[in-house]
Amino acid sequence: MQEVFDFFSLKVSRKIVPILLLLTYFAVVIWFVLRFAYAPQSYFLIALFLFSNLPSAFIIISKKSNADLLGELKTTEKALRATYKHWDSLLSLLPQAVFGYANNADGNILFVNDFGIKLFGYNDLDDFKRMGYLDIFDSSQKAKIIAERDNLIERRSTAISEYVGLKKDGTKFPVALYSTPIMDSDDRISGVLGILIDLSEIKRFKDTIDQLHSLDQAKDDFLNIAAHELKTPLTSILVISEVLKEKSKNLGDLEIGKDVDLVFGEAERLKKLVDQILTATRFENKHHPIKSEPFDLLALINSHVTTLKSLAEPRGSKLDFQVSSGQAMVSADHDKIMEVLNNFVDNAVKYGAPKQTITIKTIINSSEIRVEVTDQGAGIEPEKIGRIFSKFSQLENSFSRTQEGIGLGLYICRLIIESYKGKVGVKSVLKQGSTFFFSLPLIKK
Amino acid sequence: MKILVIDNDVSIGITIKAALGLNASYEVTVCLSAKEGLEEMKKNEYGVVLLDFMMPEINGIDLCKIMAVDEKLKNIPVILISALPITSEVFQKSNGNFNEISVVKGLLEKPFSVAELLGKVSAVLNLNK
Repeated sequence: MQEVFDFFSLKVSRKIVPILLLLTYFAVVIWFVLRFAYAPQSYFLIALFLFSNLPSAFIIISKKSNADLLGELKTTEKALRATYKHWDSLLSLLPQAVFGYANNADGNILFVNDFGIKLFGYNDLDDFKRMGYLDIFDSSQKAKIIAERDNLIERRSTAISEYVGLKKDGTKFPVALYSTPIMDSDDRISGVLGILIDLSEIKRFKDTIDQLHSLDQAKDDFLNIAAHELKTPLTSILVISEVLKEKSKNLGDLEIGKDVDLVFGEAERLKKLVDQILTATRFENKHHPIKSEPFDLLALINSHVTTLKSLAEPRGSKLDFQVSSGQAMVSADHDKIMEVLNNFVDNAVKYGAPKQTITIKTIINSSEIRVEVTDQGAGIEPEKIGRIFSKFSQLENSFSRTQEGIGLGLYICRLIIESYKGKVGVKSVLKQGSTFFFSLPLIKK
Repeated sequence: MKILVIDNDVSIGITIKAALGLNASYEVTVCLSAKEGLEEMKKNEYGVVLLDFMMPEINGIDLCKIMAVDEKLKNIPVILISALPITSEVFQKSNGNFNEISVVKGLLEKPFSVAELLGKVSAVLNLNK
């Protein structure tokens, strides 16, 4: 009621007064003009009147009344309340504990959001406010927390630390605390604002990841040890079967010789597998020193033309060499690089069509040499291409595998080439064929 | 020519003996521990010793060190046998001279073939002629 009255009475008078005043001015002016129109001194009087009184009229118009100020204050207050509510709901929504504590010896809690109350297992705000900020951390961390708070206040900076939080029921849990000083209007530090993140979940994830890592390591170690352990019995099988073969030759028993060949062949296959596993683990280990020396890759390929051709012979395939002329110096282990090329060609023969032409092509630019092996086979399905250079890529579909091996060949190729800062890749078109390539950086002569 | 094989793994001893047996001029004795091998070397004169790298109690390297300071044994050439490729790298570091262990004249990495075994043995024997 009071408000309406104030508004009505004051507001009306405020609007009416200047208008009335103006009207009076004009009336007086007209009167003066009519009364002293032809008297020269009248101009002076008119001017004097106008200039002495008009400003006061404007002042009255522009001056705000107390009531206006009150109204504005109320509007501002409303806006502030809305903002406060806005931030308050934002604070209570935050999935992190936000709290403030006083900059005094007790460090009593000034405020805390809903999440903070729940996180620490308190009933309500009052329940929580009975605590000092030190009470919400494990007592063993007291000294560290106080030291950090003092440092924070002295430097007026922000700090991030990990502590052990303490719930009302005594449960301990890992937390990350972000804190920053709260300044009052005089720039004095009145308290500290803290944002506290519960790290239990993250710690659990981290532990799981660590566990997975160590399991993965254990698997690699097992493979490595198993492969090494296989070497001794393999030696016996290989050597004894060779000895047997010699003896059967001396005895003239060809049948035994054939059987022994079978044993020897299978043992060789096993040996190849063991070698693959060991090569893979060796190149996976980044700390293991790898051999590296400069050589001409083009010369290396040219010197292996016959060996590579022999790989293609069993399936009646032909090799077409398109090797650049000149030199291409790279720094690597030439045996390992040949192993990669052999593997590419061997795959092209195995997976390509019989009696096809396999192209081995080199492309040299200013910084690298690229070696491509192209077959005319069935091509690789797009969904398989992404995994083709991954470890055990053959194991994915173990029941429908068409080729022997455990899928380490191309993985090893990638490890070898990448350890010499090169790249491997494949392009493939279904029913047309695939191109496997590797590139190595050229070194200056 | 008398050849001594020292390996705690029985099957490797038999295997090497069988392979070297292809050469009628080789007479092979197998010992299953370094200690046994040392005694055997002191009893009989051997042209070459094939020695396993990893053995319990006294391992291959330690036995070589013992041999290197023994007046009677320091001239017997040793071929180290190992399943670990690291041996060859360890020795490459000393420029292939096997400086540290003077008696070691060759390395054989498992799995090896008959040809590799015979080749290494005859190479080391020729070296000592």
